This record gives sequence, C-alpha cells and structure tokens, in this order.
Amino acid sequence: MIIYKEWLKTRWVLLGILLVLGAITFYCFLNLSKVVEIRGAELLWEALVGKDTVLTEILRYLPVAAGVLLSAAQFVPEVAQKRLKLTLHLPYPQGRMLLDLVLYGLGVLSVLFLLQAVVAGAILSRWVVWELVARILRTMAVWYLAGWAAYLFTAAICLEPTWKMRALEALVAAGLFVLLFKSPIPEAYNGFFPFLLVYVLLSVSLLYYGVARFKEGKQD
Amino acid sequence: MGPIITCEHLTHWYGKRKIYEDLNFEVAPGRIVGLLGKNGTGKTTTINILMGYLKPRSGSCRIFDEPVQSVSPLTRQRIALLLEGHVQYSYMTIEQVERFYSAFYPKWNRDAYYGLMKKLKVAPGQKISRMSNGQRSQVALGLILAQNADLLVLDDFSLGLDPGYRRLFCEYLRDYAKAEGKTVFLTSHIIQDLEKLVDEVIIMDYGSILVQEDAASLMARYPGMTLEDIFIELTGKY
Amino acid sequence: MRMKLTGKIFLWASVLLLVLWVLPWLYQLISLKGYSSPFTLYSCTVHDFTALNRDGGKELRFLDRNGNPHGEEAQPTFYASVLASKGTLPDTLEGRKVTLEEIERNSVIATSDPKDVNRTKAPVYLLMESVPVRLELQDPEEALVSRRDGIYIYRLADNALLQGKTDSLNTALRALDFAFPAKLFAGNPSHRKEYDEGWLVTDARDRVFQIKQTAGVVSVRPFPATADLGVSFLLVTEFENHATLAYMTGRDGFLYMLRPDGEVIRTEVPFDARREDLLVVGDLFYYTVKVSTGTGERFYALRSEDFSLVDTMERAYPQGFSLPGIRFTSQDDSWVKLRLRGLRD
Repeated sequence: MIIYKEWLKTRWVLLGILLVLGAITFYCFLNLSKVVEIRGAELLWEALVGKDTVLTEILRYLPVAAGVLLSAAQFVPEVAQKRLKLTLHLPYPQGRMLLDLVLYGLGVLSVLFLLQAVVAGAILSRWVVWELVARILRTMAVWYLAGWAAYLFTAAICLEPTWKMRALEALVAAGLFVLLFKSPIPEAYNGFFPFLLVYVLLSVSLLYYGVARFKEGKQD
Repeated sequence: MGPIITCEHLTHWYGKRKIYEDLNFEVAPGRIVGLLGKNGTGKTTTINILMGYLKPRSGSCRIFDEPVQSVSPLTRQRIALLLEGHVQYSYMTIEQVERFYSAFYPKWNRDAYYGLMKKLKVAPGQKISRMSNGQRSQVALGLILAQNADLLVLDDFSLGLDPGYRRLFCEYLRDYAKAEGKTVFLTSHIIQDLEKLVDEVIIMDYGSILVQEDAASLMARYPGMTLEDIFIELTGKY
Repeated sequence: MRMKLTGKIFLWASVLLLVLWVLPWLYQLISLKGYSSPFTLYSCTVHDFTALNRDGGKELRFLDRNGNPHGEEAQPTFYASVLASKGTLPDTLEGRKVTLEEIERNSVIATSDPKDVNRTKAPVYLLMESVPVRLELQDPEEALVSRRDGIYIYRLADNALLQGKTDSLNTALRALDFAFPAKLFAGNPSHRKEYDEGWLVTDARDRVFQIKQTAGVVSVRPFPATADLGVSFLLVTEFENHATLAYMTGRDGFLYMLRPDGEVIRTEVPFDARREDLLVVGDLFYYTVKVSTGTGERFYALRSEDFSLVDTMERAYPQGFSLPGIRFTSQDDSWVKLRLRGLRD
C-alpha cells in the first residue's frame, strides 16, 4: 500500500522523467547514428580510443536531474504541512516505512537507468566492439550513482526539520557532486567506485537522522 | 484496564518561553477529555508530545501503557489521530485515500466513511486539495471514524467547520464514543461546542493548568454559567 | 535508534572530510606561486648544460652552470634554421661538416607524462596500414582488440571480426612463443607522421614484440634482446632519422633504447614512468634527457651515437608548504580516488 501512495504522488513526474530521458537519449543516439552514416563508424572508434570521451556526454547530468525530481515529488508532499506526522502515525514500523519509501524511489530510478544503459549498450554494440561499450557503461555508472545520491540527499534535506541542518547537508551534497563530476576522463572512477557506492548507500542514514530529529520536535 | 493516557511531570519550554511545568493528567478508558486553552497555551504541544512528535524537556507520557516515543505499530492501529488543520494526503481523491487507509486498519468501517462522504456531494475523482475547507475537514473526520480505533486524539477538530456542522459533529462524536466505548482526547479553543461533549476538562493558561476536573462538577461550582463563561472567568480577558 | 546515530556520524564525518578537502585546496589557491624551470639543453659548443634565461629582453641568453652567458651559438642545432637565415650557422660542429638539412633530419623530441601512463585504457588499438597505396598514411580502418586468449582484429566500419586475419596473427604470435594475455601496447595510430611502426607489445612475460600491417598483411616480429629486461614501459618513437624504434624501462629502473635492428642499449638514466615526466630533446650529437617530478628535475646528456652518458645535472624546485588533508586527483595520474595530502604537496 505504501507503493500505492508513492505511485499516486509520483506518477506524473515519472512520466515526465521518462519522456525527457527518452527524448534526450534518442537525440544522443540519433546524432551518433548520423555521424556513422555520413562519416563512418571509424570516427567513433577513434574518439573512444584516442580522446577522453564516451560519446554520450549529453546524458551526463540526466540521472541527477531525475533523482532530484523524483525525490522532491515523493518527499515534498510528505513534509508539507508536516504530513510526515500522518505517515509516521500509520500502524506500520516507522523504520520499515522509510525504507519502503526509499526502496521505491531508488528502485524506480534504477529501472530507468537500467533501461537507458541497456538501450545504449545495444545501440553502441552495433558500431563498436564490446570492450569499448563496457568502457562507456563503466563511465556512465558514476552518473547513475550521482542520480542515486541526488535522490537520497534531496530526500534527506526534505526530511530534516531545520534549515541550518538542511544547509549543512546541502553543502555535503555539493561536495559529493563536485567529486562525482570532477573528472571527465573515461573510467577514472573505476577503482574508487565501490567506496563511492558504499558512501552513497550509507547516506540513507541521513533520512533516518532527519526523521528522528523531526520526532524530537527540532526546530530552527 | 488502566488509564489509556498517562502523563507525568510534563515540562516543556520553547527556547526561553515556558509552556508548562509539571503537568500531570490521566485519561481513563471510555472518557471524553477536553484540553481547553487559548492559542499558544500548549495544546498542540501536548498532542505532539503524546503522538511522539516532540520530546518534552522533562517528564513522560504513556499511551496504552507504552512510552509515547516508541508506540508499537499494533498499538497505533488503536489510535485515530486528527492533526491540527485537518492535515491529510490532499493529493489523493476520496476513494484513493480510503483505499490507502483501509489497508492499514483491520477494523476499518467502510460504511461509516462513505456514509459521511455521501453528504459531501463531491465528484468522485476530485482531489481533496480541490475541496473547500469544510469538505476537507469532513473527509478527515470520516477517516477517523472509519478507523474504528479505541482512542481518538483530535487536535482542534473544529477548525474550518461552520457552527451548525460543529454542533452536529459534537453530538455525533459523543453518541459514537459512548455507544462504542471509545476514549477521546481532544483540544479546542472554541469552548461553546464542548459543553455537551466532554466528560472532563483540563483548562490551560500560559504556563500552567488552571483546572483539571470532571465537567459536570465544574459546571456545578459555577451555576448559571456556560462552560465558555467559566473559561473566560478563569483565564481572564478573552 | 541506531540509524539515528549512524546518520549523525555520517553527517559529521562527511563534514570533516569536506573540510579536509577544501581547506588545503583553498590555501593552495591563495598561496600558489607559479614556477617554471628554465629550458635547459646540453650544448655541443659549450659542452655544458645551458639554461635559457629570459630576462634580457629580446636577446636570447643561455647560462651555463658557472653562470656564463652565451647567445644562440650555444645551441646551434636547436636554433639551426634561425642561424641559417641569418647566415651564421657554422658549417662545422664537433669536428665534422654539417648541413642544415642533416641537422633538421636528426632533431628528435619525445615526452612521457605519468598522467598518460597511469590511466585505464581500453584494450583496443587502432591498426594502420604502414605502406599505404598513396604516399600519405591513411586513417586506420582496423583495430587490434586484446583479450585473455588472443589478439583479435576488427574492421572499424562495420564492427566485424576479421577471423582470417585474427587467426594468422595469433598463430604467428604463438609460433614465437608469445605468452597471452598481452600486457603493454605502445603505438601512435595517427596519420600525422612520416611512417608507421605499428604496435610494440609486451607479452605476459614482459618480452617485446612488434605487430605491424604491411600491404594488408599483419606480421609479428620478436625482439629477443628484450627477453630478460622485464620491460614495464614502452614509448614508440617514429623519428625521421629512425634513430630508435622505442624507449623502454626495465626491471632495473633504467631507460633503454630499442633500435630498429633490435639492438637494445641501456642508458645511465634512471626513470620511473609511473612517477616521473620525461622529456628527450636530441640532435645530431647529444640527447638531453630531462626526468622531472614535483620536487625537481634531473638532466642527462647522452651521446647520440651510442647513448653513453656525458654529463648530469640536478635542479631542485623551490618547495612550498601546503596544508595536510585529503585530495582526490593527482598531477601524476588520471584517476579519482582518496589520497592523503602531506605538508609538502
């Protein structure tokens, strides 16, 4: 039933995200296919091997935008008018409740990201060898992680009751995003990725921290 | 069964402003207790503490003999909560919100809800946010009643209702509570509605409790005065 | 609740990390003084290292290690065309007759940057045709893809595996005892050069082989002289004078020259490609090899004919002070990861 409520809140935003994501992804690969058609696939190979590009840079910030929008659609209504009190009062374990909300959001995002990655992989493997496709996907993985991070930090900032702490969390989020987008070099994050993943997953605890502070009645 | 609600030595401050100190009260099963006071005297504070949305400076409260900061989900099933301002999931329609809530409450009384909704005369797909203040209040009340809870906690339920409806609701609530043996704990700043509703009154003023007494015996001590008159008398200038 | 505590710790630990990251960076931003070391070459006329000193205005001044100033005549090979246009190019240097054409043909430059060595590269290497139909080199149409069990050849235009070519390549490699998987690949798949030497590849045992396509046929050539070196760095050099085929470093940490005929010459230049920058400026007579790090640079003058060591020089950079903390990127590699920042970073 929690999913039902989340779906009601987010269905239109999700449609919007799907459409925009789809349109820009389509545009990206349409451009690439034009390059292949007019100037040959050799150009793609040369760019991927010789230059610091993965050809899909136009998609770089989409996961972050999707994460922020979905999180806002889920959590802003929850926090407005302190409706969080209603959700917390439901006869359902509060910790599980919060986890369900997060799993819904991250789950939906993951489906979107996976869809995009599968489409990208399928199209790209028509033009270049699998090792290069893997290089592109490994590089895009960091953008998807940033999307998850955007979702979680937006949720944490929504749930936190005081503006002072929200500002602090926003600062930490800003630092994280600077880090995640610091290097445009393909596969630059390969070795560090597992640590970044753990860090982003641990940020779920910020949501619990915010809810706990809400329940104590913390105010500015 | 012991008292449904017990609060002991409740003390709370907002910054440097004392809300109250050493507040003690109990709500016995089957009783309708009204917490009355002017705005800012701590009524919503008390509800927030009771529902676990505020940690008091000191003191403790128990509901159904569980500490209020950690009431179990099963126990929460027995408590119906109406928040100040009739806050609810206003992005849902009447049907969606009923479908959502009924999944959480095994004793859900669908007829009670839709009975009240029939009187609202709203289009089926209309979101609650698009309704008038009065209509929205009725939806919130309908959800409370349908939950079939043992304890009803209502924070300023009369907000947004017109006087005619308020009186009607008070009668309905009293009949419902008494017939089903429900316990009710409510707050209000509109006194006149409560006279025929409450069994007990707790009258608060800034920083302290003025009266904590059985309603009938209080009225008997001030013969010829309405509850509202008594309230004004006790709290000074209105 | 445990989650609440976790959240609190997470938040403040993150703030701490943020401070440790940003403060040293801010400090460096404010206190950073630019420093560029003077351009230094070994002089075939002065027979010393001479550093270009710019604070004389328009006149070029080279200072030797004793501080004596010299003009352009200290670097006649480097400024050969300028001197020739002025009519002041000597016709004899180092006891032999020289011409402008000979000087220019024998001028070489090669560089290596740790940032290019320390990065994750795709195991895909574009294969050129080294003897094109038209005189100019063409853009590559095929690629080598290195996998655990062999090196595969793909046609770029349609991403098709060229099975025949792949089979002959791997058969040839196995016949030469090539141990898969290949480790290093070095090459320069650009048509902006005089000729193409294909790819130099090390196998799993660090032995060097050359893979080159000539008239559509991919051939393999071993370099037995590299067998016991433990080659860990390869830089292909395609100079006009064919002086060398590649530079390498061996297990012993020294720079080696690989000649086109397969001869391997060990130099006295210690060089760690993963940590140090390399700049080689060579002329008819001498090679000036500069190896630099963040703290300073070392110069080696080698004789061009046999790469024997003639002279060395060291220069330390003025050291700044930095706040200790953390950082995520480095001048010396292309990765993002957590690193500690010391006082002297």
